[in-house]
Amino acid sequence: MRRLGLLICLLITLVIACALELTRIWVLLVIASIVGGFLSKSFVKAVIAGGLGLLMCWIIYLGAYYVMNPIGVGIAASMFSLILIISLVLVLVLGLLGASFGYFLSRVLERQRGKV
Amino acid sequence: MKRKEVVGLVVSLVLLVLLLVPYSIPLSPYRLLTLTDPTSGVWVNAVVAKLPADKRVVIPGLTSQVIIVIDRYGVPHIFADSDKDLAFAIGYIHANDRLWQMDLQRRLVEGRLSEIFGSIAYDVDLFQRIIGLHRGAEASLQLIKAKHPELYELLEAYCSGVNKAIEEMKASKGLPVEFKLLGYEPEPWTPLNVFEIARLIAWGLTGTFADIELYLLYSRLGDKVWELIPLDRYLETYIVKPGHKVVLGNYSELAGRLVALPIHMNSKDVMSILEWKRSVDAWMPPIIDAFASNNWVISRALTDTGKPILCNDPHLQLTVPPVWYELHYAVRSGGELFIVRGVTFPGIPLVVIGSNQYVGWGFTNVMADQIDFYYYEWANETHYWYKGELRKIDRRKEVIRVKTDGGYEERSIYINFTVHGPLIERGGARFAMCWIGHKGTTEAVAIWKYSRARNISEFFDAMNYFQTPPQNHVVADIYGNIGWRACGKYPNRTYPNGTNAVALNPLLPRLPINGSALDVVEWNEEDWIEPWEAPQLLNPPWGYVVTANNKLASVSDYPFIYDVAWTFADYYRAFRITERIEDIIRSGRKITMNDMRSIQNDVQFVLARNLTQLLVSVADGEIKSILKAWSYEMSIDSPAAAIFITWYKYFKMYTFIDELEEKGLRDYWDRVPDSTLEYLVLYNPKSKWFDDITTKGLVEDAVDIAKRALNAAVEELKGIFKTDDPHKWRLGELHKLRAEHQLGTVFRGLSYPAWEAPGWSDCVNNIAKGGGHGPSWRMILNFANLNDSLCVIPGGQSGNPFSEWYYDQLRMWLDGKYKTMSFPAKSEDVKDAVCRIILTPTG
Repeated sequence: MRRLGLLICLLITLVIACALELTRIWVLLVIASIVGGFLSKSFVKAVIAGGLGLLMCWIIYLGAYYVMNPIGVGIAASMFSLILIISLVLVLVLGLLGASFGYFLSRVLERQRGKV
Repeated sequence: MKRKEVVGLVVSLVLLVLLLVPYSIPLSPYRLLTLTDPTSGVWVNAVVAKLPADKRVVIPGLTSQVIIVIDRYGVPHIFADSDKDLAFAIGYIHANDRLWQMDLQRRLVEGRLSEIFGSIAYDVDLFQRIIGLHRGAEASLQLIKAKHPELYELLEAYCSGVNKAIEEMKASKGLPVEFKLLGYEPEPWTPLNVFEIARLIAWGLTGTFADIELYLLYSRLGDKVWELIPLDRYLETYIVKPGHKVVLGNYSELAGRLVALPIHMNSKDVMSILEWKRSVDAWMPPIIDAFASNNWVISRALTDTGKPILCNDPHLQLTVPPVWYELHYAVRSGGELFIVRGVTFPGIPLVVIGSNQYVGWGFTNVMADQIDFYYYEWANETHYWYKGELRKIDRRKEVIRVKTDGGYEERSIYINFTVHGPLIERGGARFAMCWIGHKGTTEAVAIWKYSRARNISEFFDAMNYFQTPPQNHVVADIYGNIGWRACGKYPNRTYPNGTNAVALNPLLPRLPINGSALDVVEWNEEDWIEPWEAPQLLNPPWGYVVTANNKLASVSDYPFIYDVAWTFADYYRAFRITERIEDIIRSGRKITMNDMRSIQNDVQFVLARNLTQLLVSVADGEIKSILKAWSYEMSIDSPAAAIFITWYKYFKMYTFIDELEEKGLRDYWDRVPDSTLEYLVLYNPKSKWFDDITTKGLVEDAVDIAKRALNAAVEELKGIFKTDDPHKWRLGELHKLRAEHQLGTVFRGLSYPAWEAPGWSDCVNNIAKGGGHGPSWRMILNFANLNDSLCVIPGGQSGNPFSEWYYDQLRMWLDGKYKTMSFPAKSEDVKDAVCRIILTPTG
């Protein structure tokens, strides 16, 4: 299986994550990070792509919201600032774990195919 | 396969599962991510807080197009061609702005708060299930369905509007932020819910346990209680006869007239019932012990416009979002155009206070006594004596679902009923509650008809449907008529032979009634004091009517006064409003809209005016000069106001606490009416109430207690302001707004800012002590040109904390400013429109 570099994995994770966000079911985001990790060359690149990919996805959405209603999003961000920070950390962790899972899954599958 | 890759796979999977599994722990990773996900969490609410300039919604079942124009204050202006379409639109707009408020109040009435808050709310639910506001709502629903089907149809249309909005919000993940924080979704809105909200208001304004409290005081203080809470207040301003009238208390005559009181009831248990009620009240937006409002109407003969001016500021709990939701509409109803503007309760599609193009109206609470409590001789736990027979209590089972960490726990409860109503029980204390709100009532019909009245005469006809909570309606029309009615349906308490019992014993409605007496006094279901028999005035010769929860009339002017009410407010606000109106009349000039604004925001404290002389007499130095120069205005920068309120607190406490503490009533010193203390100072300064019974060998009078209170006040103020310089003490530092969101203790940002507030309890601008309640809506109607009318609410239209309309009117309200209250007939005429929503029928 062909393995991809960090930037391309990050981009793939980001695009899939942004698309999955449109379903309004955030749990599906894990798929984006799994795919990113699955395609990565190394474990470190996998977790960076997965973590950053999901984090950037959320930041892009929030940025777009800010453009749409700066006052409202500003109030929300100040009112829930702590929860926001914790959540960004959590989505980063979600991305890291998803990518880690994807990376190890790809390795295990690869070895199994090699055995066959 | 390398072992470390398998381990890595398994560990990643386990950690992922831990992150993704929904626990019921409030701040679990799953909940946090759900709360803050950009497309379904709280951020969605930040985006929808800004309305698009144009929005079109297709609504199946609508008969024709409805246009809703939202102005710069978030006030909707609805233009519809039928009442049903209008009701739908009101429901749609109410839900969009206030859905969680509506849902919370519905849950409160139904005793279902535990489902969302857990066991912390169980006692509240238990109380609510017993008092049974929902049973009264059901009775009213059935009555309206049977007797007024045309109104019932409108309520159904309203519910469809609410439910359409819920459906849209669910689909767009735009449910109000509170649902997301608490992790639940609303159920559909039903016509029953409309009546439940109405019952909540009625309970807030009539559901007083003052009878039980007075019984408690009487059981411990004996006849002395009538000195503190006399049959007639010592100082009164009556509505029907303007002027400050001093009436001497006649408590000494009353002792012999008392009915027998229960001797077997433990007063500690009685006290625990009162404590239970108080703890439940804390959950009771919009009305928590908030018994105050002002309204007045001036005849055309006295105004500079030659037409009446009507003012109203109902004082309720300062909730977040506000109690009221303002709206304006123009509708073709029965072929006629009606243009209506005013305030609604979210959850009810009717303009409760406001005006149409012909007639305007405002409310204050009558403080009516529509609730009585019965005690019995019990043969055993389940049987009581009633009219010489043993009766078994009616026992009904209900289930309260309580949210737990793992889901829900179901707790069964049993509610006991006697012939008079549900039993409220704590320990050995058992009172059956007889409340008018348990019966089907028709005020919804009245309020509906108010907005369709074409003149004062039609309005008076419509008032005949208004039963509870009794309200002082002041009313005026564009033809120049003014009027007032203490409108409501009042119980006629009679002996079994039909004789009115209150005429023989005026104390009877104030205390629990012996339900086991052979001549038991009960409400005469065949013969009420009907709304049209309530005190009323039409174009009074003196040219105005002022009401401020004060006593309606003396017994010589209205014979049923003791049947109607007894917990009237002290006279201060009514007196001050009347005084200011009289001052203008005496000056020979005409009354203007600006005068009305000034009176509505008046902060002169009549009590302070009458007691400061005593305070000055015991003060010295800078404090004395500050007080001597004081104009009795409760303005935020006033050092004198800060000194007075702190002194008065200690003065009242030191006067009464010794006697009350001796009887185990320490916390009740503040329940004594201020007018009683004022009377004692002015007319009986050597009263034994001033003597501190804990100082042996000394006999104190008002001056001694005033001196002691001033010392305590000065020490307190020095501590608060960290300075000995009294010029630096300010009222504003001691008196701040406390408008709190129900979730404000956890999410502080949801509550309004705690800004410094002018005014005080019993000022006309009654932003009360504690800052938690005050004028919930200020309205000044100008009948010369209704488009020049004024209004403001303490907060904003939107319940969305991220909206620019969350509290955009709060500063205006605090500073005594207003916005224009216009009545456009066409959507193009709405000024400062920011959004236009078009509801279009299918096809």
